[in-house]
Amino acid sequence: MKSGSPDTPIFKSVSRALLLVEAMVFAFMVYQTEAKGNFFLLAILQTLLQLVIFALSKWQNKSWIEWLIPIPATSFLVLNWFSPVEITFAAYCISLVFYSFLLVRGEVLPLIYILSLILGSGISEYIKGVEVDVILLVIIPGMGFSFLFFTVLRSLQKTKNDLSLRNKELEESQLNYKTLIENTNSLIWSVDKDYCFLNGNTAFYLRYEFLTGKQLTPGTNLLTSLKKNSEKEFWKSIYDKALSGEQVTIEHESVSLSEKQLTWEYMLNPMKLPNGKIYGITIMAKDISKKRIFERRRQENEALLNGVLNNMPIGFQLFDQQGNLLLSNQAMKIILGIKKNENHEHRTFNVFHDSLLNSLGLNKVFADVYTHGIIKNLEMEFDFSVPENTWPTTRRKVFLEMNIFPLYNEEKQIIAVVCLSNEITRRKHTEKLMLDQNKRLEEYAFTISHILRRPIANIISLSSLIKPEDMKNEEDAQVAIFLNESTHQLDQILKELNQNITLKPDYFYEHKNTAG
Amino acid sequence: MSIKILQVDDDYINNMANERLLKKLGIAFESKNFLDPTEALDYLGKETPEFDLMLLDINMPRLTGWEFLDQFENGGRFPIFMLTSSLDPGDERRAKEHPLLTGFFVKPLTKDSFTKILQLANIQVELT
Repeated sequence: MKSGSPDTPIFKSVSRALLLVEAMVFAFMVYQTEAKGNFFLLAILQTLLQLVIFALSKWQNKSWIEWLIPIPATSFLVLNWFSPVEITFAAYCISLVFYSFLLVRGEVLPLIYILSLILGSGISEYIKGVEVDVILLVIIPGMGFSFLFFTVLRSLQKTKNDLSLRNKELEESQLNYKTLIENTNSLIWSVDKDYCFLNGNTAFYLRYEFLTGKQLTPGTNLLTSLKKNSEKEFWKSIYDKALSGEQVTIEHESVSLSEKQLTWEYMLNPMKLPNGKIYGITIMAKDISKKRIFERRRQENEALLNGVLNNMPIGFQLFDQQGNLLLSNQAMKIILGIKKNENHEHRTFNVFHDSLLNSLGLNKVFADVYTHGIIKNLEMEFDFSVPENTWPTTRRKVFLEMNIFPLYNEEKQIIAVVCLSNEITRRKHTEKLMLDQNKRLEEYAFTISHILRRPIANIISLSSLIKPEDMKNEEDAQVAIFLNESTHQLDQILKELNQNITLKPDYFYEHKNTAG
Repeated sequence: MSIKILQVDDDYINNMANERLLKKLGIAFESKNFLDPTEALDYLGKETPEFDLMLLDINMPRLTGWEFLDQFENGGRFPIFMLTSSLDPGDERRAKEHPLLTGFFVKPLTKDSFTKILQLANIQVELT
């Protein structure tokens, strides 16, 4: 279907003028969309495809083929290969080429082409939001100018709406900013490069009025309003530092009007123009007096704890979750005889990878504590003379009584293990001496009880068989009596001696109340 | 009536002194003495002699009195008395708990201790 070709010069002139307008619109669009490579690529691709379809329709002389013209653009939209902006851009491009082509041939755009594009654009609008009027602008000859007018009007309306929206956003942003700086205990203010006040939150206004007794207004020089010269010098130095482009964080102590010691933390940030020029500073001041007091207390507590750890006579070791030594007190170093060398003082080790501990089986003991949370109490002899020892110690042998127990967090997970060690070398030595002595005493008691007593018993027995009255004279009778008495005395002494040796006192095990 | 006594003690003097004491007390007795406890065990194992009582020492070479009792399979036929020079109270405690022992006496054997032995062994004899 073809609508004919008016051949009048006026029509041609109008058509050329409209073509010029279309070209300007296209150029405007290229500028607005900041068209990139893929925009042109798509435009060329679609134009080629439509030219092919158009040529096919002419060649075959079958006008229904022209119905296929909007298909490529619609397909691209539907398949989401290109954005609506890109498709619109391509549509402009196609229209320009076609319109030029038709104009050169002196033809008017076929009605079916117009209808098909309107239909295709309508579908595109419905699917992807491509603006119909924009497409109509470029495809209907003679209507481009009026559509351009409407488009400009619409664009202006849109710009107004955009401005109103941005205004609203700006107001919201300012409100948020205001809320942000007001809902804080910190003092926030800004000064220009001449140290004059620009803006600040209510807390700063109140503080200023409280300190100076004057009302603060923008433009007030904050340095000259300070009374003390030392304060002036302090503030000038840190303002200047920030004005040089440096971000400054500083702690400063001051005395309040009520003679209270205050600690402030100041954070100064330079304010820059888009060209990078510094025009002022924003300052945020936080009262960290309480934080400092807590920190001081924490440090004092830490010092106290360290004092306790280092002065207690029991060795203390703290191991992390992997068994690495984290902390060891002075007593532990003394017990282990760690040499007074800085490297050795800070020597660390892992309970699972120390050859000496492994040789003593202590790695298994620690594994029980770490894995099952078992509290271990044991006595252990450390022989540092063995080849497995890598400890830089001055001692040869140490006997330790060890208490190993886990530390838990709130989730009942083991986070560390503590080992308390008490040296019992001397006690063990004494115990061994006593055991040896006891053994010797028992041997002595056995000798008295069985070996020595046997002949004594025989003497007693035999002497009892000698009767004094059977003796020949009185002297012999006397001897017999003395022999009998002496052997009994000797036996009695032996019995007492044996009793003393074998006596096992029970007062060590049982406390007897002797008071009442 | 004659009392049949078995003495197991490596101390010859003790055995002899005991016999002299019994004689002195006017007791009619027949005694069989073993200085080696293992021989005594052999004898008691092979024969089945009847004795009225037995006096057993603790500290002997080759076999102690306690070991002797452990190996004495036919114990219980006649009362056995431990007669030892030991002053160890542990020995006395152990003897009191031992099922084969009727009594525990510390050497030397005296008139009083032998009277007690006869009582415990249920033997009626008049002492002079």
